Amino acid sequence: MEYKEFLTQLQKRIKKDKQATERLSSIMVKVLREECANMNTVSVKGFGSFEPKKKLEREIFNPATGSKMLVPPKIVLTFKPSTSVKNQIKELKPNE
Amino acid sequence: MNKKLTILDIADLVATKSGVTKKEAELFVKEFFSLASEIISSGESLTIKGVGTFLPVWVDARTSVDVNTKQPIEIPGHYKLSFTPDKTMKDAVNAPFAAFTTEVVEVEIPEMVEIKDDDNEYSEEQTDESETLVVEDEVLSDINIEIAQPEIVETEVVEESKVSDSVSEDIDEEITKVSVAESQIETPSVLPVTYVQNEEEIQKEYRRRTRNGYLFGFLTALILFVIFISLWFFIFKGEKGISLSFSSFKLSTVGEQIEGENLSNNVVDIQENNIDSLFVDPIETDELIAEIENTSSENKYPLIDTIQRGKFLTTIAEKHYGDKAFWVYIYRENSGRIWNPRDLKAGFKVVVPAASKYGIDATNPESVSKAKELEKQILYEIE
Repeated sequence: MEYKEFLTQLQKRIKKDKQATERLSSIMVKVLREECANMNTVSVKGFGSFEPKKKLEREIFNPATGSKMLVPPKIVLTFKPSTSVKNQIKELKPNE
Repeated sequence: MNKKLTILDIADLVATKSGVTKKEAELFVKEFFSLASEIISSGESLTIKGVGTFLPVWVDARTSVDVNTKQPIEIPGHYKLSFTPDKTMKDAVNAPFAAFTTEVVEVEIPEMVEIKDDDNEYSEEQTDESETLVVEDEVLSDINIEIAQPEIVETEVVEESKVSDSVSEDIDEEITKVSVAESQIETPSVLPVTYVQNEEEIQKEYRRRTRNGYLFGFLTALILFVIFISLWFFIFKGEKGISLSFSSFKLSTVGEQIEGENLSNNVVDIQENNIDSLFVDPIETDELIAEIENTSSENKYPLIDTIQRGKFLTTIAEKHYGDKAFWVYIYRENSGRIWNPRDLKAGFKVVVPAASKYGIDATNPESVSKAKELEKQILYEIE
């Protein structure tokens, strides 16, 4: 689902106008981003948790060119769904 | 840093930033995430701008082992949630390490050989070279008694050296006639050093791998032979004669290789590099090579080829014989030196036998199938 559709659905739920919903959403996303950038874990009950993780530098080997490359260390944001979401997704039937 | 925030902390921050009441903010955040989890749980993908994309992906069924009972179990196929962070989110999180980029690490090339500084020990180097040549043949002939004809190999080598000797005489005379400056004479004399160095490497590998004493008696005979040759050179040519003839011997082998291998790009590249790096006049060497090609056209095989990155026994076989199934014969020819044909180092030199020696004929299906049977046998022997 695209973000726009998500916002209209959210708007119906909280019973506010479109502008206020968009403003609040963008602020919330900004807060989330700032906290993750500060290496803080954000866990939302019933949804999951966002956790920034450090990855060490590593060497990779390109078999086509035979060259070795050094991948720098980095921080990536991981998302771990809560058990309820995870189980519900697990029980989905393969429809295609 | 490294704190764990809950939905309430987020709501607080949203409230202070937006100016709405805490209660309102909390309600909003709760609704936001509950709607999101509902959408995701229904199996739909969800993209939130500034955060990322949540997408259920199908995991195929796979077999595993039960940790407790050690019984093989099958994990049925299922969906799992994948999360891909938005670019803005990714960059914000990775900001401390944003300056780093992936870099290529230089790999050491094992083929690079240091050039010896002392140019004076020609008689010694000559010993080394002829030692390795004959030792090679001795080892090979010992192992291939049933198939190989060792005498032929040896005589071929002798012929080769004879040819090179005569060539060297010619060149020597020519150069003295033209009375080339001394510097020009000296420059090609650097050439054989790298060649000898490679030969020495092979020899070291031999000694390390075989370490058999039976070579010793053979070596004493060799040294006598070398003393005889060097005496001969001293009588007829003096010191300059030796250095020159030695260099031309190297060039003659170069000529053979070029002709025999139909100007394989790699070999030519390496040789050109050698020549360029040693500041040899290219026109002069070209002339020499052309001259030597004419004289040594008969001795095509056996020649020496070098293993390179991406070049194996099979590729060498395909190049020389037209079918890669014939690699087994190259392996047989070098079986005293190769332990595992799948694991050869770059820069390793192998002797490529003449096609007639093992009845190699790529157009004949019988010959190919024979090679394939031998391949099976060899692979069985290795394992």
